[in-house]
Amino acid sequence: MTADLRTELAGVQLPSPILLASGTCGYGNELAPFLDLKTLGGIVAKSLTLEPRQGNPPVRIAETPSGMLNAISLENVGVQAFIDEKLPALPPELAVFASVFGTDVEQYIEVCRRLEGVRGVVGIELNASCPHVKSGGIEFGQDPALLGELVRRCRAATRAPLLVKLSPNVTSIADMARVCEAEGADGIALINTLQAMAVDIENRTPVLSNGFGGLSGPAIRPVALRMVYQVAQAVKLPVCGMGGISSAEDVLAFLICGASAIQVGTVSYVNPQVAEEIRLGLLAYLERHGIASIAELIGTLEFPDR
Amino acid sequence: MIRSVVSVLHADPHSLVLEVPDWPGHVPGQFAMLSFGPLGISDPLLPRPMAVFMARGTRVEFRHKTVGRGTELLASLPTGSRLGIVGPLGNGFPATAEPLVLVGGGTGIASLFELAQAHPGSQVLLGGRSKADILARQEFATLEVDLQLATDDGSIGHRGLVTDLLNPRPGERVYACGPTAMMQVAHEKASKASVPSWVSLENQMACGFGVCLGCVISGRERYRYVCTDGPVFEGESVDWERLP
Repeated sequence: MTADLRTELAGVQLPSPILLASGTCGYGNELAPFLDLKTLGGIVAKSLTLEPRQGNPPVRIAETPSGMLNAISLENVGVQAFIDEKLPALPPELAVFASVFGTDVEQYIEVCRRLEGVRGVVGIELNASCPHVKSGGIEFGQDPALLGELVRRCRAATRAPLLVKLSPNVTSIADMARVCEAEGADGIALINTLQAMAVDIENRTPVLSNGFGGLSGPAIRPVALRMVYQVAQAVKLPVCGMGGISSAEDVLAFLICGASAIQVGTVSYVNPQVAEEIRLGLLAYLERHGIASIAELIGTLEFPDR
Repeated sequence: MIRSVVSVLHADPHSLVLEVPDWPGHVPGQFAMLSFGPLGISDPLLPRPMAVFMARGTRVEFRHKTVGRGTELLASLPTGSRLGIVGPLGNGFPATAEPLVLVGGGTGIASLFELAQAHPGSQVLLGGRSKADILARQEFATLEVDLQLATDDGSIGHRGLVTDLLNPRPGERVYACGPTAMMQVAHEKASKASVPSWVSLENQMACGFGVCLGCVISGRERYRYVCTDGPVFEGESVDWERLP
């Protein structure tokens, strides 16, 4: 008998806990040559803004030890083109979360409204944490009052299941999660990238045109795991964990620490089939341990008595 | 386009040969992303874009030069090592029946070999710092093409720039791959002679298939992606002054 990978996130039933992370899977179909999208738990599409955005000039990425920096700056087709052109191209059974971003609260609200009731969108992930846009992102995710206002007003603007994606660039990630819970979020996604930089020592300039960028990849995984654990302890909301996940073993650690689902991000660049390999790895683990359902593992971390 | 874990048949500081059972075939100028994950290595993390030098059936060959940790690692792989491959990627050079003038420099030479092979009678101009830098010189010499070489130190062929040898005539097409400065001069000379040119650009990229959005270059109207809009672009369409 095949073990049961079904899970629930923000009130949405998912066929597996494996989602593709926003900003690393385009609008979904870019991965279709490599993956049967219907076998995924879901995807979180590239962050959408009210108007299309062109993003930063090059240089936008840099490789770092077991990771990379990016400062793409939310290049996207805009919410309307997503609804009209990108979404209809996806398999109807694929759970699609739309990631929403704005440079002020009104823009977030308007994008949420445009997505309201759109067929094929199962939920919204508020990108409260993009660390490289001067006039937005980081301020929401780093200031509890701003974050609270953002979640409260978006909550009022949409009935869609609402995930809030947190920035790790804060002193207390648990406090940020509590703010989201208090203001009506349905789930917490974390972590976004860690603010970082790289320097060209020959020219004495930053490598990235933007100066700073977001660090992602296996380098950040232990930080992400710790933060997921803290948030899962701090709130009753379901948690979607991410940060450098590369294998089924990594996913299991996040689930045991309290994540109900996870997202695969940067590693999809290296291996666009990693989500399917993880799915098979999870099934093998469950079978080996005689566990009927992956849900039984969520939040089962125990500290041995000392 | 496939993604596979494949075996290294041969690796040295200049060439890499892989056994790719499900290689679907490619167009000259297309590339592949080679990744180290199957070796259990996450540092370097990102796959390396590499133009296909030649493929025969399931045997896919690349030519490279050690420039950093990634290529150093590739050069040192024992036979039988496992690598990840995604490819073929990008557009490749457009097919044509017009006479070709191929201009190559450095590792860019690799992208031109199959074109030279498929277009007997083409003019092939290859350049490097010195004789040893002209990649695949012997293989090119076996082809039925008008092969001319240029080196900075004069150790073989013309002493000077490869573009010194370029005098395109109406009716020809110039296809160039190599250092940006070389391609720019090739494009300018072609343009002056009213000859169309195509150039193959290089850039850092994390994925190679259009999702990381890391490899943008300035276009005349919008950013373009080297991986999916290119790597081959019409010389006329390139914003030469703003290439990274």
